[in-house]
Amino acid sequence: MLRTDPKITSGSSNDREFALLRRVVDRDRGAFDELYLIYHRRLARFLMRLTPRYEIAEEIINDTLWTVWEKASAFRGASLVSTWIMGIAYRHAMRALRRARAQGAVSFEDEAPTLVDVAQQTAETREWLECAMAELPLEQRMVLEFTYFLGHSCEEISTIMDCPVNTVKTRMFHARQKLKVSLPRLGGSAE
Amino acid sequence: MSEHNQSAQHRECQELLPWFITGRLSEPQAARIELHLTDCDECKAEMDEQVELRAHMRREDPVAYAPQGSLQKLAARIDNDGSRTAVASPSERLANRQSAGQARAVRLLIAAAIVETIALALLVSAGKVTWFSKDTAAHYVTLTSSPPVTANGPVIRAVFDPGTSLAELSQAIRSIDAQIVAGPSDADVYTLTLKHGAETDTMNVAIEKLRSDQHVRFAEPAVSDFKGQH
Repeated sequence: MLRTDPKITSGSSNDREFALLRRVVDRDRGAFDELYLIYHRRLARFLMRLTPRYEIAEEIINDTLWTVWEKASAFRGASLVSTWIMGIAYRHAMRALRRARAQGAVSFEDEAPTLVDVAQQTAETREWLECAMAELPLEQRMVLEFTYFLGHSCEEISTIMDCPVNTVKTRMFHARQKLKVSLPRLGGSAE
Repeated sequence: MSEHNQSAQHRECQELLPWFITGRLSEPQAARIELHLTDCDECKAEMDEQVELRAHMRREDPVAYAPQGSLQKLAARIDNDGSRTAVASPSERLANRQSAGQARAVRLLIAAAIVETIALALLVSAGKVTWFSKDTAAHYVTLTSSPPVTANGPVIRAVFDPGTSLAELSQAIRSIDAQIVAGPSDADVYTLTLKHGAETDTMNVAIEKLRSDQHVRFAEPAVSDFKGQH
């Protein structure tokens, strides 16, 4: 059924990232490049769900990895490398996305939604979904994305967002409530 | 099961369903939810909805985002930040600076030449270095005197042939494991210190080696009381 996603909790991928981070402390540019490529992919997929503009995503990614370069020695292995880096990314993302929202640059209504070749009903649902999610307060949107798109646990999200576990649960609950109101009934659009 | 238990478990299930679906609950938590679901239609329906929401969100966009351009931008940012490191100890930073100092000195020579006059730029592009004008020398002094280097004590004063290229100049200096701490002066004198020790024997060997270089016109030992002058 729906059991643990091995990609998230795999010891070996964390070991690999930890080893790379150790070399980054020693100013190993090759290790940094490798870490960059891993996180660019992960972050780009994630951030492009939150903004249609790649240059904003790129700014967030580069600010995040810049902080990793500067502060690598501060990481002590108390959490997974991914939790630590996502926490850094979250702070940079919130700053950039709030700024972009204030400038009206993040609304999906302004962009023609790209419909992939799917059944019409599923495509329409997705369009509704993207609009509804774009309307959510950023913190609630983030919890939704961290949970369903990236597969983080409640505890990991509380570390990433630097808030209590109960706040994570509350934000998730409110996000789900809001989506219920905005969305046409989800059930019935078969994949 | 008492009403109180039902409602507490119901609340817990409503709260934790998303992480039950993604398999990120602890075993005891997941077991409780699983049990409650067998008994609660409302939660079962909610679970089905959330499963579908998650599936919609995870539908993969076919667009891939090429990382190389972005990586190059960040690499340039790191390079421009210079050799400043967040973690080097004071002695490591000094060692870094001394080994980088030589490379930096050559870079500063290039920068000064390009920045100053068109004539200089032409000469640089022709692969030759000429004697700097008085103005250039003044700027160059400012550049090399920051950060201040410890040039109190034995130094080497060297003058190079006018036709010497930058590559030849740096090769000559590198060959004796030295670094430029000042120069060129008005008289086109470079002041050098050795990277590894300043004992008389070491200095003499270095000076002899420098003199044997075809580009070196003049190399003499001296004692510097460096105060930003040379």
